[in-house]
Amino acid sequence: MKFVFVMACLLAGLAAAQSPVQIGSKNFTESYILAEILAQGLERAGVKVDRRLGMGGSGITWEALLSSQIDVYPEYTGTLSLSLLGQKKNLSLAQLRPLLEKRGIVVSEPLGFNNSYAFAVTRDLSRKLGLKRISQLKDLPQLRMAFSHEFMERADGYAALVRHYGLKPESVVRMDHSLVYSALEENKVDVIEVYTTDGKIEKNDLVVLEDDRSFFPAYEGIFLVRSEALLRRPELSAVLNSLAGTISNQQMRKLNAQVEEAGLSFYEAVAIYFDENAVRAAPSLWKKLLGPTKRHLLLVFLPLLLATLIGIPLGVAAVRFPRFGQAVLLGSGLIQTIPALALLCFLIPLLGIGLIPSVVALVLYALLPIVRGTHSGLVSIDPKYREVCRVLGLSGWQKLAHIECPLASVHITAGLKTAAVMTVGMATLAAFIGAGGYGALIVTGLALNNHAIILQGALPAALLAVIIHYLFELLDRFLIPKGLRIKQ
Amino acid sequence: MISCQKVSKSYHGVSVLADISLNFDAGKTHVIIGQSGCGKSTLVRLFAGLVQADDGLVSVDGRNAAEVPDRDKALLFGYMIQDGGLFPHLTALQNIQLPAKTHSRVGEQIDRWARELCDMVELDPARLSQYPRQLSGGQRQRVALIRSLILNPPLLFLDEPMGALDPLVRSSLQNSLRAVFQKLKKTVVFVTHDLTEAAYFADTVTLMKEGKIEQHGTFEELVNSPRTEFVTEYLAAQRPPPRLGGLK
Repeated sequence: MKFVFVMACLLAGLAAAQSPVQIGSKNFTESYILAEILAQGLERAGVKVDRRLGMGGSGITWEALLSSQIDVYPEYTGTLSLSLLGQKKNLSLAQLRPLLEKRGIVVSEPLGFNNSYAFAVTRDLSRKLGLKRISQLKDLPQLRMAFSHEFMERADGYAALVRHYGLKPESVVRMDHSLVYSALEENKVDVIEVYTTDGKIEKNDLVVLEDDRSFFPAYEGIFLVRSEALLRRPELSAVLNSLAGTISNQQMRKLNAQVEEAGLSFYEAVAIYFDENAVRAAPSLWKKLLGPTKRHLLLVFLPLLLATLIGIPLGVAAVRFPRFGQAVLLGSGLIQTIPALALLCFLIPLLGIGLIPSVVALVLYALLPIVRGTHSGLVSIDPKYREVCRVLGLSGWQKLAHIECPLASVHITAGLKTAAVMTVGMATLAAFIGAGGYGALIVTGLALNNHAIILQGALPAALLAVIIHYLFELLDRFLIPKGLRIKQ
Repeated sequence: MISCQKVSKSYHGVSVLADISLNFDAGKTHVIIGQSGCGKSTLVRLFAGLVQADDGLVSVDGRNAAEVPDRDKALLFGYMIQDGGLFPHLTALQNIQLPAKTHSRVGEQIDRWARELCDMVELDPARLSQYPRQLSGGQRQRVALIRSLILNPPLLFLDEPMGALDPLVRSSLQNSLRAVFQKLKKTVVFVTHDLTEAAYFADTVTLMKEGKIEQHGTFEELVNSPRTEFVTEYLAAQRPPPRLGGLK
């Protein structure tokens, strides 16, 4: 018995040692690139990796790290101190380390660059107004500003900044970070938030305003690693150490520009970073779409199947036991009120990231139309048919299977159709927790502000919605008995 | 065959039937007649065991109607409602076979009986492959009648079976029904508000008013010796059709 136990432990340990390093990233270019640098660095050292890139904002990657869903992801010292650890001021690495140690997390040595927040304006505007410093904005409240959702919300973000500088801007718009450059270019706004390593600053010839009252803390690039992963894969420490201090601001900006401006993939840009002579491999569009297509189909049909298997019996039970029914309808209705992204984030600590929590979330969303369809279908059956069933001697089960379900089929199928179309759309959101599919292309495209990549995800997703719509119209013929499809 | 002893029934405190006592003999056609809401449908539903009496005893073929399990109902009586109650997702044939199947009575014998019934109610057997929505109102009622007779029960309850039919179809269906009643010698309870229909079918007529029996007897007895003012009034309300001359 002891022997078996020891063997089991050894085997489990061996399996763990062999398991790939899970690398996460946030959903903007630089985070993808840094994660990819680590991934290729590890692969060059012969370590297997799983790329869980573009998972979402800081909250999501941080949760994923704490709950051991990923082993490592790129972060910034400022974000870590102020947002994730909730400190009042930016802490030094020496101060951060003991705080993280308690949580089993280790900070790598800084990578070399400092990607701070900054404000930028067009060169024209800067020249016209002589605008060079943030403090000058106090006298220019008419300038329209655009900031990312994250900057608007975080502790060291917008609110703290306007207080620090005493600004009273008249117009502030929230938008995705990748869109603020376009907004500035199209003259829809005047002041935007940038990262100091953004490749677009040089390309668009923007003027970065001086942080003359030193508001923005340092945002040094680092990796956060779970200490357990370091023990499991000693190569991980070696590779992380080899990356320390090697990426300057300028190099980071160049890497960002290669992806965002020159159109290289993350993989290609990083391959060139490691080796100037790396070949640019350009997989065909079909090949690029094959993986996401398979995954997206799985993300649509698996939840639909499960939701049907759960939803129809729930709907039937809801009619049989009215009190339980009210609870079920209320519960499935409440789920709909949770924003999809929030639900996905809630599920990370419970189920991790990737396929499983996505399927669970999609099943939960698809339940309401199916349960409600089944319920209303059964409730709307003319009571005379139930009476006829009684006098004809049908048992409860016969009545349900041969009479009630077929009579309710029109409503049930309508519920299924709603669920199907909803799921196709919702499945793209699953990309935010690393489930892949067309959403992954959309998320990447958004991060790069690359319309071509967004469309590579969005068009097939829309096409799939159309196909599913017609497929389910066709399904009417199988699910709704002929006698009910005849118009009277 | 059917008897009620001091039967009362009320819904939500409103009395629908009050102190009803009656006896219906076997093999006869008993028509229950009265205005809407007089309780005549409730009475038939009591016979069928679909509702329970608050007071009194309803017995059908020697059994307490309230205690006949659903499974035995189709063997005891056929039940036909206003629009037939055919299941729209089943063909006419599937509707007819449904009670036979639930009682495991499938086979050659049932098929032959079904064909015989088709003949009797004058339904073109080609209609059997169609769905109720493809049939006319009269055809639907004929299919429903076959369904209620497929297990050959001794009783037949008909709750305003012609309520929704136009006069021509109605008259043709009335002929079929009477032929069936006479041929099969069923004990029939027939609910209607139509006096000519009552006169056409009835061995006995029961005229009801506000949950009570006004008079029970043959149609002639009701005409010749009405027991109350209401009986006279009800019979007189049935106007003869206007003469053609009157239309000028």
